[in-house]
Amino acid sequence: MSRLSARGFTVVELMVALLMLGITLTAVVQAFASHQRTFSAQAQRIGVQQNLRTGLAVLPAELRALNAREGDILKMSDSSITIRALRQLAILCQVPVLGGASVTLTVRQRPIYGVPDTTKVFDNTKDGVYVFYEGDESVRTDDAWVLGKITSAPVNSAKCSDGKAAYSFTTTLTFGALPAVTGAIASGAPVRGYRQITYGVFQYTDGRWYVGVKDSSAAMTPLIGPLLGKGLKFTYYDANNVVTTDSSKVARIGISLVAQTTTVVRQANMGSPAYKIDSVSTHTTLRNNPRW
Amino acid sequence: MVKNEGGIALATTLVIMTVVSGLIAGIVFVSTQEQRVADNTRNAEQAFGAAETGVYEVLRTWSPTKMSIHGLVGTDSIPVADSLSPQKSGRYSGTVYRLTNDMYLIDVTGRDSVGLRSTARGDVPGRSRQGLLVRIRSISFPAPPGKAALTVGDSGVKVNGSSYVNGHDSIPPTWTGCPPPDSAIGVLSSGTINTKNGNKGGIQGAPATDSTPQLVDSNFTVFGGATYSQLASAASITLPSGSYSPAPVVTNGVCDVSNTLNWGDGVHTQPCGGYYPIVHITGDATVTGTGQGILLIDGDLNLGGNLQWFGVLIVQGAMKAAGGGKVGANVWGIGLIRGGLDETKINGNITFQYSKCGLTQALNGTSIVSVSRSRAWSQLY
Repeated sequence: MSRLSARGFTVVELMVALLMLGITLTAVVQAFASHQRTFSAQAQRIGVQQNLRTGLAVLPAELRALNAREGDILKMSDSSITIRALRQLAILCQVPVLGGASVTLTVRQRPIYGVPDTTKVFDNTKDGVYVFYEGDESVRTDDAWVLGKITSAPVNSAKCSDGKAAYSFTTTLTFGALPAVTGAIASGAPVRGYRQITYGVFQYTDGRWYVGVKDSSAAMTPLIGPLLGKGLKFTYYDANNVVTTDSSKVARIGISLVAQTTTVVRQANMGSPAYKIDSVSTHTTLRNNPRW
Repeated sequence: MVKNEGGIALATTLVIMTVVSGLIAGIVFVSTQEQRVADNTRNAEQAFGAAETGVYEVLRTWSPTKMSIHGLVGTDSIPVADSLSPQKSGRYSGTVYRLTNDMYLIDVTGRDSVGLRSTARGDVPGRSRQGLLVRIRSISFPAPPGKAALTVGDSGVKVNGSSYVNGHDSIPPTWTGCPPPDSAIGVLSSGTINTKNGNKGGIQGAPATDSTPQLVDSNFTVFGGATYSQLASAASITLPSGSYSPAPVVTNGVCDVSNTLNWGDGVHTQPCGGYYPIVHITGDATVTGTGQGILLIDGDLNLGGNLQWFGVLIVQGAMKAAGGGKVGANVWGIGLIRGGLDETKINGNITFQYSKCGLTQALNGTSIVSVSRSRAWSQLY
């Protein structure tokens, strides 16, 4: 090895090299930090959009199945709504005996909808039913749905009149002006199970506002959020597209959501960190209102 | 020879590349996730649309003849074949259940087309399942003039011999699932009602006879929501003038609805027990045999032999009913005879028996469906 090649660096060379390295590393770190902030901000924005998508998926799906004219909206305001939300669809397989205080309903185990297994059929502490009232088979004008309260837990060892497996439970049905005569509700009549559900804005334990959901017995749990303030607004329209406060006249519901990021976001072009917000609005037409 | 082995450029470059690669990987990951979420949302929307389209396609292409031959839910179901939605945005398939005599549940699952195409990369198509309750839109015979076992126009009717017209409701012997009974007029006519017999029951009903000027020509051509012409155009079987002796036809265990002399099985022996055709004869006819549904005759009807008819009989001309023999001829349901110029004559061993069940089930079996009045739609899970 020659002496020239082994002589090393001068102090000046080292200082210059270290300075250049420092400048380079500072630039890299700043770039990294900037990208990190951008990445974090994007992730937060995506989170907000996911929240809004959840809102778009859940709320219209629940609201479009309502029949407002016949009592499915129990309470409504611009920031909350309490409804009879459809949960099950079953089919009677025995003619129920009417006229008494209690009516036993026997429904097929197959087909049945909204029932995950034989232990989760109808919850007699929370669910109610609508039973299709045929009346006179030769006319349609007397067709109706009779509201019922479930008064016993379903028994899953019951039998249909054709011998097929069935669930059986007792109810108290409200006929109103309809004659409660055996035969007016036919074997084969559909039974719609519902649960009283409230969707509305509430302040969670973290101090932020959320769209919450609860049934008749539970406290609100967060579903969509956090929101910007009380960032949920329902607007109710009647069949003439006029805003209404009468729950029995609702034909369409407007839903507006304004959500914000879970934490403050700092981006390169922002002076100080702040929550990022996004919004969405949609309208849902109620499909089960009476057609005539 | 390496002149200088003390540099850090390579290490610095590697560090920078690692950092930048990490950032790029992160951005790609987030973007991919976002795209997948957006894909899922779009697929779900398309599947929802495919299901909804499928439900209404089933309704649009509804064939009373094909649907009414099926049994009730629990014993039978009607498959909806896997089909491309008209907008080509997805596919749908499902099942139709006959819940009661006049109500059906359409259960259709839709799948999006994009997810279906992308199975190679492991995607699962979006699915949406929807249900729709539909109900037979019955033809009705509103009052006035009211329901009668036999309704005859201006030319009047003569009930003679051992014939019998009964307006008190009766259920055909082998039929089940019938509505609560009611009563109807025996013979209703805007012309003269002559009764010369007494050998049998003659005419009974609530009341037995009613000669009313309220009965007008349109009562023989307009039936609630449908006209005679509309019924004729919806006929399952159209035949020229002639003599016919229909009987149920079963081929390979299936009711053969392609046979124009199969007018259903009024005794309700499966599989033709659920088949209620609209039979339209474009001129005069002589009819014996058995059948059920709606029988439309543009000309005169010569009814004899051992005809067993269950449902509605509408004749635009006159009717001559004679004979019947030992077995007798029976019409369960209602008969409307416009009459024309000739008096309608009923003679021999012939019974016109008002039957709400015969009327209702025949109308249910032949009529078109429409969406149930309320709470018809469901998102199914």
